[in-house]
Amino acid sequence: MQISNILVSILDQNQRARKGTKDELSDEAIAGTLSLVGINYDTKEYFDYYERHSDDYYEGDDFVPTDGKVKLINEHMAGLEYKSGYMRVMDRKPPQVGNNPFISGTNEYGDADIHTHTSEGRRFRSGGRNGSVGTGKAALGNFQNGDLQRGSHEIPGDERYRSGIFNVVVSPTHVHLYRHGAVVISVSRNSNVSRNPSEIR
Amino acid sequence: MKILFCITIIFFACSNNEQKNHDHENFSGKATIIDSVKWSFYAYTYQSKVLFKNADKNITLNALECDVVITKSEHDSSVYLAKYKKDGFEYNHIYEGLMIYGFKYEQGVFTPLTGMVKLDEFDKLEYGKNDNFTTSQNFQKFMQENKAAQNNISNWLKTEAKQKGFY
Repeated sequence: MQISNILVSILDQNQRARKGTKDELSDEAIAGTLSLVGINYDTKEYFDYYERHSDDYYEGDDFVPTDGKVKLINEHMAGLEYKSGYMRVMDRKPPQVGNNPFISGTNEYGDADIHTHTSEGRRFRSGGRNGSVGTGKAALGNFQNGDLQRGSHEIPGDERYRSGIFNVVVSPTHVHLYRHGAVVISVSRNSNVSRNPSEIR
Repeated sequence: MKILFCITIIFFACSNNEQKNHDHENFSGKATIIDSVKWSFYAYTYQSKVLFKNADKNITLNALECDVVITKSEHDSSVYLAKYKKDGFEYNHIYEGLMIYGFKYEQGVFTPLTGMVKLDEFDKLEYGKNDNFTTSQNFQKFMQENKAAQNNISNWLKTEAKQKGFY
């Protein structure tokens, strides 16, 4: 496990240091390295989770779409459990806080959590202001450097953090692995590398 | 010599204080930055519901009946993180309305931190300044018009509104 810690740490630091440069590691390279630590992230399972909640339309008045598309869709969240080498979506649901397209609450179960980003790229009006939602890594928010740590697994020093466990965000197009507010790896839906868990083993 | 030393100390103390007050100037007219961040947080979220956890269940409260806690970012001195507080409960997030995590304060403008969402009104600082002003005015008006119905608003907010002379 010590080697795993080092690998994850190197990956994490590498992505931060080289973000946006030509030296940034590719999804494939990172997925391959992550698999070496013995924790597999089954992206197909996460996209399935996304699909299961993709028709939960927001019904409130606080956010009105202004891009002429369908209603906004609520975010969902669930726990992730490390089981037989994989980070699996848990059946057990966190306290229900639904009906908000931009926030899905705080999960307290499992080893990490997964939540959906259902409104990426959408435009809306709220409280007399116009807003838009980022896409891809930009949708992970403005918070870097751990200002908004959500769970103990995101705090350096915690056993689960050291073991290389990440939270998951799943959008219509990507799965992002992240912790303490920074994306470590992003895998596209069409990526051949890790759609099938056997391929990232 | 001693007199010269004292004059020098007083000069630097006054200069420093002047700079401090200037740094803390903002649209709500308060002397301390923390008070201004608190006021701004209420102003931008006063119509929201706030979700808290108590034992095994979630409860929802009106924003104005909750206290606000401000902490300065450890990584960016211009960022103030804000959250609601209610004794006996654990804050979860803003439930109805846009989630705001705090503010970035620069050149007298409070830009709300809204996570994945980007507000057009803060594309430029001058737009943000207008939005700060309008939001504060709207909040003040709301407080005045709904004074009779506000039995449960936080003590800090009540005191602040009285100090501002409209409550």
